[in-house]
Amino acid sequence: MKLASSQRFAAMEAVPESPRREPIALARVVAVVALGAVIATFPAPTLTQPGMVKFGWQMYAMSIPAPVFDVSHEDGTTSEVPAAEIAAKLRADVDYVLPGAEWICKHDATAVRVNATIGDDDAGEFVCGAL
Amino acid sequence: MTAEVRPHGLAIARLLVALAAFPLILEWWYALFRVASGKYLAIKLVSWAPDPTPSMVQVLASVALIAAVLLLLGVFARTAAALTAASAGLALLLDQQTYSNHLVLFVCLAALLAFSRCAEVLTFPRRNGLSSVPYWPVFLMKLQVSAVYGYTASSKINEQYLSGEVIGIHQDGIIEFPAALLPIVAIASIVAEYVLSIALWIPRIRLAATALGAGLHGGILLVFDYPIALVPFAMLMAAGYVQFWTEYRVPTRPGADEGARNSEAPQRGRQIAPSTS
Repeated sequence: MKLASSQRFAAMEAVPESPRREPIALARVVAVVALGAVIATFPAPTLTQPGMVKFGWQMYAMSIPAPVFDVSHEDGTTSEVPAAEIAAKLRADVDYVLPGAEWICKHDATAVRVNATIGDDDAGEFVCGAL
Repeated sequence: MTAEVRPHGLAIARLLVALAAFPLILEWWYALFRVASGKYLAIKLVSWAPDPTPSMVQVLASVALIAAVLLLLGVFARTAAALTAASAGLALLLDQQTYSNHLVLFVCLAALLAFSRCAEVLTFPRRNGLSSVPYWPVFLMKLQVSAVYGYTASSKINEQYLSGEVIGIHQDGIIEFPAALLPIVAIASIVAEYVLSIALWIPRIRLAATALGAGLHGGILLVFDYPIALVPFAMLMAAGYVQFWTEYRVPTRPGADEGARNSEAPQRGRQIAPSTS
């Protein structure tokens, strides 16, 4: 039986969704819901952590001073190394204390001890031979 | 989830994300370049990440730049979006100092674009693409914008931010608030972010929310120091805002892709088979 063009269009619209496409559609819904849940909840744990934390959308939430390293040398002299001097880029959400002390001990052959401070607070004391 | 929208919103998002890619590539390239030189601290995000070398950084940046250009043009757009997301993601993995919230937002949006039909219109060379595209990437981009506002507002509820100290430290732009006003500005910014996380979803107040968002991001650029670094963030958020304005949905029907292709006529009001949703 030959259908008029308008009838053909109506017939096409009346065709139900193919059963084979239903699992794909369901899988897509599950994937989207899962992705949405990740977007909505992944940063939540960062709200309970102190200081600035990565992956928490913490833009300008706090201002934390960068560490400063006081280096004691073999000859008894001391020098000051601000983190800004050795960091590739200063970030409030990066912990520079241990990596900074390790870096100074590795690159300054005369360094024997490194004291790190953040603002007025002691952030750690490191003996170069022990790192 | 199986609903469809007009393709222009995703295409505009593609353009904004691609344009934001260039300054962001420069930002992470500079940090990685310094790390790879061996003259600066290297702080991996994960211990198993390889040590960045100068040639690795150059190759990564080159791939990212080519992908950004292709994404802007809309040529192999989904692959290009995936490559820009992957290269920025790899930069984040190689060293913690490449981290920025706007780079993470970029990775999220570019990844969503990689799974979307973001190059059906506004491409060069011009192509006759689909007139309706799947809605679900649009929904996830909208959710991403809400999550950013919600979490950034929540993270600011601390003594230092509420006192206005943070804004006071960072304000060095065209507008400078007097110290007495800083706590009020701080509280207002948190309220604005919470409002935006919800209001953009409500059609009746969407226009006001968009104006509020434009004011917030414009204000950030006028108040904070180094505003140039915040321009990509504003562009990425704008890419999300556009999705709230492209809600018009074209119900799907069998063979919709073929029927929609090259179709200039809007399908508003046409009685067709129900959506598969």
